[in-house]
Amino acid sequence: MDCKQFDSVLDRAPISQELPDDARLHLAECARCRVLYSWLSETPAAGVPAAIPNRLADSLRASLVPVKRLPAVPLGALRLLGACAVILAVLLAAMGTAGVARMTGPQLGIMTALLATGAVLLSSSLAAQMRPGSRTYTRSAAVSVLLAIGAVGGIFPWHVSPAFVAQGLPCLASGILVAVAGAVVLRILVRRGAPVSARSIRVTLGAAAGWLALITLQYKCPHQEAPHLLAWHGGVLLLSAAAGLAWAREPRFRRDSRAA
Amino acid sequence: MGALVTLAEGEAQPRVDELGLRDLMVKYQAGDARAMEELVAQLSPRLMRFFSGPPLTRADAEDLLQECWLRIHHSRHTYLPSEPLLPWIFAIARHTRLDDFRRRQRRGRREVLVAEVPERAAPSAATAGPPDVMRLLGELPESQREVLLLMKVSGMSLEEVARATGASVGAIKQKAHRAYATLRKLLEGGV
Repeated sequence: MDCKQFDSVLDRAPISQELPDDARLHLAECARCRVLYSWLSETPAAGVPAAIPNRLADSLRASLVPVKRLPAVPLGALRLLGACAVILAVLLAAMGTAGVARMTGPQLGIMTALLATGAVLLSSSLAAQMRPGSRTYTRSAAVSVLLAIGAVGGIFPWHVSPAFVAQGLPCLASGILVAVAGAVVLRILVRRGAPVSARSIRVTLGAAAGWLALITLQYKCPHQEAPHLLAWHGGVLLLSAAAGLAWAREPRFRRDSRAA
Repeated sequence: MGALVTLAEGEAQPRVDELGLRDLMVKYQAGDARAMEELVAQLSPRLMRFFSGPPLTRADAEDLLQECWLRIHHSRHTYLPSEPLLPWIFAIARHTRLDDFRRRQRRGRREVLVAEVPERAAPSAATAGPPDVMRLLGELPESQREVLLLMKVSGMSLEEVARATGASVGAIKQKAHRAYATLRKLLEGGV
């Protein structure tokens, strides 16, 4: 056993009194690991005077009421997805689905798969961030967003319309409106959570609202060219996530955990 | 009450004290004051160890402990009995510490503009002695220190630390191994 292999023994927590034979042999030979092992085996004194836990308990007792638990992450994510699906259905019914008719079969299939994957990951990330100590899926969500952007560049024609700005501004405006409405609904749904990182959940909320706008625009917009999609539809997503970041402040914890 | 606590799918058999803590947490959620007191008494020493050490003073650590319990109290509805408790608790504790760290950094930046930073006094012969756990931890980069604090001072496993920090087990292992390498050098140098 060498020092690197001995590190794997140290990964066990708490360090067991019973070391494997090869680890004990290594300790006998290696002074550096011996010093490190004895140092890590020391348990620092706890040092909490009895008065402190008593004082803490007294301060918590005043607001101690039974609380209703948050649902598990998959159920929470399903609720968020369901709410987004309802909003999307209402919006597409009102705004039309001209974009669907303008996409080819493969374009429609690939974009639907990527947009749905992003929606699942973003809602899972939001639901997970409502609960401390959960896997947050933020990296997976970011990867799916990047994949969707890459796919747009690869499967839609690179044609810049002479009316690029005139066609884009209405998309940007309606996208922002959808994102704002989506953010309000999502904010209501995640309000019971206790996120440990305000910045992370607000950026994710902004991105999720922007993603909802992106899906709406993808199906309703007749201008299915890569520059238009990336600049104006992607711009809504970017603006929405940036708004979430700007909104981020120090974490605030609800003072009134909902009673059961 | 033990029947209230179930294991998550695929979760390894937790330590006995973890099951007891989960049981107390479930009762705490139900509004049981005695369970809350017991939980505060059992977890406060671990949390205090996590908050102690440079650059924090003992008074700072006590303030953080109080703030952390307030956060735990206001977040208690987000704990699920099928999930391990310690990663949930230490995810909150970690961010309590991080928020304090950021506040100190901001305050430090402002203070540097109007005042000279005093030189740190060299350790006197009277204070020199065997390497102290907390003092040596203070020499590590924040991310490595945090992993070691969670693993060795708070007694969590790699998997629990990964859950508490939202990182992968591989990333935590890498940070821990880097910390071991740094500590070997520091211990050799007789810091």
